[in-house]
Amino acid sequence: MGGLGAAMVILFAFVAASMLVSAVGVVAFRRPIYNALALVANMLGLAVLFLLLNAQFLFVAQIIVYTGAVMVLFVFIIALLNPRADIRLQRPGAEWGFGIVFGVVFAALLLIILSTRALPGKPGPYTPEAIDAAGNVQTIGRALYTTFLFPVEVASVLLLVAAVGAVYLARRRIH
Amino acid sequence: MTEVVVVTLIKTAIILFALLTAFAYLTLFERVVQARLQARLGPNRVGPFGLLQPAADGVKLLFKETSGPATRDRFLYLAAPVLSLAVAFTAFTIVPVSGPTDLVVLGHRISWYVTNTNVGVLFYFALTSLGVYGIFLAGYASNSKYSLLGGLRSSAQMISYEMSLGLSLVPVFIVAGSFRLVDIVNAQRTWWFALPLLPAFIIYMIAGIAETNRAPFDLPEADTELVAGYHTEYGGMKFALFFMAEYINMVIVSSIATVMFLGGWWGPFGILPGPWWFLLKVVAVLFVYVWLRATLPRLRYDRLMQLGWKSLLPLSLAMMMATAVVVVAVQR
Repeated sequence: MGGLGAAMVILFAFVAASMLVSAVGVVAFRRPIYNALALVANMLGLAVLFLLLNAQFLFVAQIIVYTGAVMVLFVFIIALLNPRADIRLQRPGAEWGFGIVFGVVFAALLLIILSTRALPGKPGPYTPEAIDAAGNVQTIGRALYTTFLFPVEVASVLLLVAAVGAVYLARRRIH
Repeated sequence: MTEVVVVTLIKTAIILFALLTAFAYLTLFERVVQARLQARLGPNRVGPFGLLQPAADGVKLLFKETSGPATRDRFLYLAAPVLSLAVAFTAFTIVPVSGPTDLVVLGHRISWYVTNTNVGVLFYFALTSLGVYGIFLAGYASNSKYSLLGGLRSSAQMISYEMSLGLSLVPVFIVAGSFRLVDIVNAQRTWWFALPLLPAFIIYMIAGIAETNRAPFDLPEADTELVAGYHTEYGGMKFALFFMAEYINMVIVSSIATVMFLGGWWGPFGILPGPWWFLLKVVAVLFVYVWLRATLPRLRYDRLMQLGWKSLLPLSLAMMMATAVVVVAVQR
């Protein structure tokens, strides 16, 4: 485990660092398409973190759903609306003020949580061994369609309503 | 630990070499087969039977002057072809070339795949969804209307057909009871899935052509209207990278068709070892691709979208439900 553990820590440090850089890129780049691509890079980093936690299905789902579907639409729309315009946002004092206030509050909350309650780290029913025995996808599938069946169905109805609504709005414009 | 890393690196090197060779000879294969189908001879001047033609093409592309539009986005213009090719190369790591017993080299047991992950073929879909970026960014970064339109079309097409491509494989997962490609091939020892799941196989093949942007679904590079689509502004080696990505994607779509539907390494009567069967089946599927290109005219764009969303998607959903019902009924 020793060599593997060290390799995992190095990988984690690398991915976490590149996620921080790309997160800064999301707000710092001056051209909208680079902002969106930085967000894509950030989501890819998150997917790799899932992989390091042995959550292979989440890794794949994160890439397919977020980078493959959601962010492609973002990039699409940015490229279509202003392919060349370098939007130079003026950064007035108010935005920086809000940013600093919320950043400090968020950091303080994180610090308080981390310092007051130690992470439990006690094994639940889904230990790596149990998941490996049943299979990663199988474990998630079983949980989603037995324990969490009702929330899953509600969420799917919600998505269906959103899709129908989008189609309705789009068609109304045409007529 | 060290052994795993070394073996994986060696396998990766072999895959890179094999895929590049496959790309080179697939171009020749396509040109010769197309020529024969049109009653021509095809390339036959460079080397015996034209076998050195790919090398000549490669040298030509390598030494071509590189040029690009002055108003291009320099970083994305370079990154796009690299991304396309990297995604294409990575996808082959999940394909099991042979089995079921491991290869034994100098006392080490070596499996016939790089990774046999539990999510299996879903990994391939994750990669194809990244491949869209390569093509779309090429269209955007070139800063030219033909490129942008080609890139748009191509990403819309890939996103639309990815759904049918993925859903057409669900019946296979249901019957095999696993996402792992090795388990899926092992489940086809007696019957290839292409026989009981024929509709799913046909849907997969059609969606696979659209996914690789091949004729008759080559709208992204429709030469009559878009010059060359998303790679209009690319030349020399950068163009070659897109070219490679397209052909390697063909190889991968064919390999996955072989593994999912055509029984992978299993062959009748126990003649020929596993890897040869795998190779033969992949070449057979590739031949179908080339054959279709020589036979069918290009679809119109709205027809293409209609085919994807209104025919293939409902059909693949119906196929999925029917398979699930039959499997549950049989298990009862």
